[in-house]
Amino acid sequence: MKRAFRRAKAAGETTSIFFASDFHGADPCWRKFLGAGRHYGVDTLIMGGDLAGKALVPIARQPDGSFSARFLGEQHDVRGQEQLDRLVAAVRFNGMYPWVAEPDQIEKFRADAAGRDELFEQLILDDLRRWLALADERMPQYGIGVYVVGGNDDPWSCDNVLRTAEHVVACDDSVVRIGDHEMISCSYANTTPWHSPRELDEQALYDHLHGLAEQVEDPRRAIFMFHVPPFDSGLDTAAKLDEDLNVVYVGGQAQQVPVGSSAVRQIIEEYQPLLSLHGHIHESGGRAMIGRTLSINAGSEYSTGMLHGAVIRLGRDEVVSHQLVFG
Amino acid sequence: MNVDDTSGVGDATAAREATTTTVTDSGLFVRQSTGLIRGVTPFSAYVLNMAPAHPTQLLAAGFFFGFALFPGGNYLLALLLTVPLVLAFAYAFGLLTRLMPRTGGDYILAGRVLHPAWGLVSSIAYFIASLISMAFFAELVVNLGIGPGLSIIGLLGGWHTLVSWGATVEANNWWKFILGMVFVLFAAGMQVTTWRWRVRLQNGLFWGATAGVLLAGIIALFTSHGAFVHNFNSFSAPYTHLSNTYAATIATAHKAGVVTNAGFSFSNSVGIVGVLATATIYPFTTSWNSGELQQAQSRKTANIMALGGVTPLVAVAILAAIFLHTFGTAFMTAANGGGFPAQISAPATYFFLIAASAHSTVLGIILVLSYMLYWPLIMYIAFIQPSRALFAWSFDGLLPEWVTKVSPRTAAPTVAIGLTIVLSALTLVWGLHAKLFLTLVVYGVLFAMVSQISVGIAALVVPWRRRALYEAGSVHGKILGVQAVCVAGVAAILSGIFVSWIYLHYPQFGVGSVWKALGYVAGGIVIALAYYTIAVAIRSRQGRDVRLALSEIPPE
Repeated sequence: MKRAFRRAKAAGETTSIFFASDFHGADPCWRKFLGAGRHYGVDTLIMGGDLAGKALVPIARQPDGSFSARFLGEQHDVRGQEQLDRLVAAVRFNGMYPWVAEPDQIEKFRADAAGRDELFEQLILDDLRRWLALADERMPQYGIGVYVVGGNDDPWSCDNVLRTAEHVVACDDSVVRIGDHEMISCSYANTTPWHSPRELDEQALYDHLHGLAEQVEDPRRAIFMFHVPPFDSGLDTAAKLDEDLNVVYVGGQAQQVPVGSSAVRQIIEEYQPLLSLHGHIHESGGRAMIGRTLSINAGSEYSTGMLHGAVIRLGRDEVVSHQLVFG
Repeated sequence: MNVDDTSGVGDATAAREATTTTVTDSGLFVRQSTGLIRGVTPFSAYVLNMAPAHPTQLLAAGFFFGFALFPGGNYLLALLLTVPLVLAFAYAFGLLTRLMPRTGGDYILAGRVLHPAWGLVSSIAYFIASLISMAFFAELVVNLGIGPGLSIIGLLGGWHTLVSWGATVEANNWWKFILGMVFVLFAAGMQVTTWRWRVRLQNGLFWGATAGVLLAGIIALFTSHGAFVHNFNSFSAPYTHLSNTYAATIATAHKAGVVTNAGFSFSNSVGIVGVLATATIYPFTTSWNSGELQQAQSRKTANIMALGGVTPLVAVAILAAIFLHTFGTAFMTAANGGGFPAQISAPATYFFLIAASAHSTVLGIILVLSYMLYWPLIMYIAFIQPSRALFAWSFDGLLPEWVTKVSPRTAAPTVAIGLTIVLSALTLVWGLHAKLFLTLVVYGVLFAMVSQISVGIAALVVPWRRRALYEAGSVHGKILGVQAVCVAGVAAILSGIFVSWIYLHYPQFGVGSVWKALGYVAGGIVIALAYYTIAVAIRSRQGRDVRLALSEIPPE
């Protein structure tokens, strides 16, 4: 499909947004995110957090000049730069970081937890810089605003890199203006079994969000972009885990429970913004109404290169239209 | 590490480690990070894929009926010919689902690879097929289940009131509608209940239905042919007033033109494939559940579909051999071809014959109840695609938004399920007034072939149409140097054409005019495309472009 779908603004539309979240290092998701502005004919792109990937694929440089790696259950043995580039691209497509190294170096890192942590962070930041450079290079010519926050899975060091971008607005923990609307953002999640970098207990999260929301002049026209979805909203359903992170099975099946944040829900109920945007629970993408607030979880299917998102067209005081899309 | 990625990067046990990053068994370095996925266990996935071809139903109805329709057809050869069809569809759906895990069904598979409009065509075609199936099952539950069940228990126990009730419900369309809808509503209830109860019920029904057919098979295995003939004649005598009802059944069928001792016919063996195909070539139910399928990206996905397709065929082959040895091939052909005495107001199902031979009311009740457990299971499965399709169409703007409403307690799409109930009821009314319901079913299969061929085409072209996805995915296997997914695609296309040809070629299926049949299917496709075009135009005026729902974003 070519860059099509040029469109006139809908009646009453003043601001148009494409929202997506949880790319987890998947290269095609970021590239599609940047391409989404023109594809969907919107003037603002918002990324709701979790930029960093979760896995690193060591690619061993063998003595005979070939390269070998194992990922997605398949053994890959390649030779020459072209085949290596293809392997590297395939790894990135799936949201993993390729790391080409000597076999003994890989072995060393297997046994060195602290070294692995450093390596991971270095690769996360390198890829993020690459993503931001692409955005800074391409996006100014289109006049499409790009707003990005981290998510609970992103190391805090990502924010320092985000702030170096020229065209991308790092908007975590602040109030920014998008057309007629103020937007506040929060990268924290409520506590998870994984103790990821950005977590707060519900009371602390409520206090944090309340402090942010109080800075908004007109909450009823505002956009609340919180990485974690509101509790028991249908946007936060996931498998229950026990304390050892095993999925809890009942009757042979994974038990489903709401895992969103009650603090986020309470803030939405209290302030009733026009729109709330979320990610975090990949398999629970969708929309829900919480009072007058339209809440959207973009969902994520990052490992297939498919970008889940929502196209939202806002008037001054209303959501003119919204559409969940899979690009 | 998270459970979400067990399919892609390794094992969840890595998450239990104390350090931030760990090393998986496969050698990946993984970080602790969040993300979960719903779970359908491999066994539950197997049940979902296997149930449409469960031997309980196949052996009770279509299989032996095929003997009378296609004299001289070799059932073992027919089963053998069905295996590649099953594998073709299983792997076309399975491999595409591996490439696009956490999505669902032909709507997405064909829509993403070919075109969103064609995804809708495929989805509507399977939707029609599913509604017809649902209506067919709702009628069969009375004609083969409740009615005969009451008669069988009444005959065995000497309770004539039950026999009379059985005859009444079978003869009255109102009763058929009411009782059929009770089962439709039960199937709908399974969709709206909690996930935990849904799976408990699903697997419980599976085991209940399986236990009955296995019990019948074991009893048949230890019953000699001579003993069966003697016992059957003894059981039948009070009703037929004949000393050898067994022989009379065969003689009656002969007089009616049924050939019970025909020589081998390859052509009629192929005809039996058509009978088998009404139930056996749909081992991909989990394609609609892949969003909930654990490790949907793993090899298990396609292999469980293949296993779900092939094991019923093997089970049918073994059980049919046992039943034919005990009951006699000529007798089963005659009994299913109209020769069974009318005085015995029950069809010659394996469970009736076993219970009659054993002269056991208790066994009859057990086998009938076990058989009855199959119906809610298959109707629950037939219910999955239509309700999910309505939800997906609405989600993408092709239907009003209120269709996507879900139960806050169970997350079930209650409005889509309600609509499916209404449409099933209407289809059942239509089916009850159709001259020959079997022909309607055949039309249903022809519509299903549109969908299954579409997925075949998607599998064939995915390496080129979705090059990046294919190259980065995990289905790189090759067969004789050709991409496995392409081989599966070609096989599915050819299988779909072959099955369609069988229904159009053999007059026994009652399709009549080939061009008329093709016209109906083509009409369905045109209507689906027209609907898509109209939906695009209407939504465009509302500020939504539904073409965007599945269109791929050009990356920067």
